Amino acid sequence: MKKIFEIALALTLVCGLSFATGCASRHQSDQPTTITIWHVYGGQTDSPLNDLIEAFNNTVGVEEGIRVEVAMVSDNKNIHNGIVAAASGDPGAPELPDLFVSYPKTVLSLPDQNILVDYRDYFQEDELDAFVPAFLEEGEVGGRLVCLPFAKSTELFFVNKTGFNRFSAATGVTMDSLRTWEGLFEACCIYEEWTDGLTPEIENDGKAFFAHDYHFNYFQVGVESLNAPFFDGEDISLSPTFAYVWQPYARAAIDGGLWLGGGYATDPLRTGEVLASVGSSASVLYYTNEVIRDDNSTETIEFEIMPCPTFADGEKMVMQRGAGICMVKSTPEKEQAAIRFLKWLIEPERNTQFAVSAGYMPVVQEAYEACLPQYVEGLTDQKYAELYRAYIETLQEYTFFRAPLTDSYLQIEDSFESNVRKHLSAARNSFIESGDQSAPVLERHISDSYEQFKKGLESTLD
Amino acid sequence: MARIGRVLKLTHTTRKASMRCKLFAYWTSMLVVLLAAVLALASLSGVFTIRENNLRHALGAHHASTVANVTKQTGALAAHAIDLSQEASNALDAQLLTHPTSKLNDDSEGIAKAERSLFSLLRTTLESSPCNGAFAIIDATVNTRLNESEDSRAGVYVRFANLSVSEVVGRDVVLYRGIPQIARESGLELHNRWRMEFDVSLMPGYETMLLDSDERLSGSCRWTNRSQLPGTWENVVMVVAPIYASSGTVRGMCGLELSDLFLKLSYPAQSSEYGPVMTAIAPVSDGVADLSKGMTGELKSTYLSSTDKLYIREQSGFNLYSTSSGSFIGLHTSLGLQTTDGKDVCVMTLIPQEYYGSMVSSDRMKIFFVSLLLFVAAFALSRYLSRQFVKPIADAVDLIKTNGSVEESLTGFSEIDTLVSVLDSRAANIQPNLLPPDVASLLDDFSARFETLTATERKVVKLYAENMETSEVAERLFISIHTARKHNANIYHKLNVGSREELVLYLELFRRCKRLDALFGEEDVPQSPGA
Repeated sequence: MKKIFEIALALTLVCGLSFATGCASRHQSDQPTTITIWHVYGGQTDSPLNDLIEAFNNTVGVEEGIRVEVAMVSDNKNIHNGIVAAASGDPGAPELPDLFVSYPKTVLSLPDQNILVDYRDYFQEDELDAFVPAFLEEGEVGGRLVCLPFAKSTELFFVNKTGFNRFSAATGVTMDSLRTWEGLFEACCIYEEWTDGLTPEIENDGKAFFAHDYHFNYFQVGVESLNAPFFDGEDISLSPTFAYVWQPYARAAIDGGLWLGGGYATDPLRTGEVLASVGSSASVLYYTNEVIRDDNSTETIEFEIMPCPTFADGEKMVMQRGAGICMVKSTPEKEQAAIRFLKWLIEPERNTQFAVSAGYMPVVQEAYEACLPQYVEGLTDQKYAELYRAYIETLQEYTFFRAPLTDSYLQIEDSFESNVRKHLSAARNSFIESGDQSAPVLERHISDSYEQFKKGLESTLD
Repeated sequence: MARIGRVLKLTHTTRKASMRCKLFAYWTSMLVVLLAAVLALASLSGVFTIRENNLRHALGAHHASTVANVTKQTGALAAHAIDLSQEASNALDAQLLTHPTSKLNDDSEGIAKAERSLFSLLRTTLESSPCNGAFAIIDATVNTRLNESEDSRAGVYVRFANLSVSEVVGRDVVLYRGIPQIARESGLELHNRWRMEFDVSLMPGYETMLLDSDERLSGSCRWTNRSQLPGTWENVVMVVAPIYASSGTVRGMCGLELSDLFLKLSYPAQSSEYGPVMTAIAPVSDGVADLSKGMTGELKSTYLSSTDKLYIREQSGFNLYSTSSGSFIGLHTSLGLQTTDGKDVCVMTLIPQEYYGSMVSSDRMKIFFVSLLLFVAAFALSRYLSRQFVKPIADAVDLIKTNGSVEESLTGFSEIDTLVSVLDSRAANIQPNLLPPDVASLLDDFSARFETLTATERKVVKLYAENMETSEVAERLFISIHTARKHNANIYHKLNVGSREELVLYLELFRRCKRLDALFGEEDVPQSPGA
């Protein structure tokens, strides 16, 4: 009897204590694990990734207790600045998100790259083998896979076909002539002259024909396509090939046929201030099928989209773009939740669905074989159909150039962009003010602008 | 029967209650009462509602702070909107003098001039106000010949391009509405969904503002419900004010914008021991808060959606807010804002109920098990104490049984030793075979009646005392069974017993009291039945 009593007492004690402590620790587990993301897909417009995130939250998220919260939709530059500030603990900096979209160059700028998860810790070899190998390789920094490819883009050539047809009818410039840089820059000069002539009562009101999103990319890929190195170590090699690439670009700019204003190329195309642009295939989201004129009237337009122009004597080469998704180390629960979301996101069908809705290419091999052709075939929007026709042509005929991974890449890019715009704009103003638009004067301004650019670049990079 | 009961009662007087059991019952009762008193005291002093009280205080403090912040921000925004309206009125009056605003229709240069002057005001307001967008609409269009000119109005709308809590200054500004030349001249980018003019059919409150005639500008300032900014993924609420001409007519409308992302950054979810504390601002009517018409701060670790409706159940201390995605506890306070639809806008502080509910359940389980453990411990303690208390007595009894003499049986406990001595001395005075008076009387009566029996009847009774059956008695006495039964009847009558069982019971009593020999005579004492 005594023994039974003692056993019952001990059992009551153990059960009571374990139940009480169990209750105390249980209350956290029923709540969703929230992961935050900063991304670039959609900018200020409707975001296709936000739609996917909402779909995830309403399905897998509800079932598995995961909630993905979009904390910022911005551009790569802003995300780069925010991440570096947060990781460096700058005063007033926001908290690091769990996931962010960036290029490896952002990772290189971090004070400690080990704050990021190595995806090899969470992905099996066969899962990684599903990616396009070149895309996966791009996400490696210091032997660790820190940028998971999600969607890749390249640069394409967008033309307002409706406006161009009028120009072509008046001047004889053909669409095919725009496939080379030489032909494009010649068309720029012709267009400026033609538009100036449309209002003879107003002097020098000719319009620019072409805008490039990244002047830096034109020079970088242009020089490399002519078999010369663009970089000399961590400096820009101002070689004769660079000067050769400068010449037609500067001529078109100083003559007024090249857009030198700030911002993205979509801006002047939307207002009819230019007819053509080179930009990321993903910028298709930001092009609208209409031009708004000064009197607020609109013109519905069609787009012709082609592979990026190349030099007549150069290799067909184009910039590979498209950032990856980085993951900040946190708790095992949050990391597992983030990985669950990412694996859901890169399933071939979903990866293709997102890519095609945002002007990207998928990153998993199966998507190219099983999904992409039927998605492209089913495109009803003329702009998107054009985009993927040009994309496939680029894939077949072009070599993709990848920007080098150097610590100073971003600084060089910023400095280069501002110097090109500044010195070519100054030369353009000087050319107009001179009142003499003869060929020798133009040539002098081209060579002067080059010298000024070189000096400006050297002084800002020193 | 009554006599049997009496006899039985007498035979059972030797069974006694155990002192240990009684002590155990006393101890248990005392400890349980003590424990119950402690629990009652704890309940009265609020120990069991400490979690609720703490939550009430924490929630109250947090809510008061949020209300103060939101009131300050909405007040500042309304003040900036009124100031902007006055500045815009002055700028347009300076340009138009006493002309009506419609003079600007189809006048691209006039509109450009007006937009340029409004732009500088808006940019200053944007950068000095706790908002993320500012706009001014002029009640005129650049092209009245267009089909959509009825709803198209000129104006300027500037917004921050990238929101982040860290960048208070130097944030990129984009032009969402207005002539593109403004962007070119100011080095701004056009918004991805830029258009030159406003579609006023999509601008909440615009029609109302045009009809406004409040003499005080502050009386005309209104808050709109949430709406999606055309072409974007962002939801916004606005504080709007009319732009008056000096003549008192309305020239247009201006306002400031708060986007949901801006609100999320401004009011992040705060961690607390009760779970994430979140902020929501929404119109409340008939006990329902409609989040689809309001805004929320950061929503963390919850399935609450910014399109949910919260059904409010007001309680003392804090309220309950139910949605399709779960329940919340919290508080709400009216902000007293003037809205375009006249609804009362409240600021709410919300905590997922699941967190608090599981904490309360956990507390209750803890209290239950601790009480259970205490009761079990009280039970065990009572058992131990009663055993310990009785042990020396039991030991003393054993000692007396073993030794037999009082001198050798002293236990060292004075009360027990005294008791033993007293009992011993009494035992010495007690006459042997002395029976209790009632028993003695019972036996004497029976003996007297026994004397009336014949010799044969006595023999019969004697054989019954040897536990023989009637048939055996007949056989032993060489009489018929019929004669034996007749003897029985006579015996029962003379002895005043009702049955053979009662007779045997009497005989057993005589045997136990050692008076059976006296009843039958020493030489005729019958053998005990079991012997």
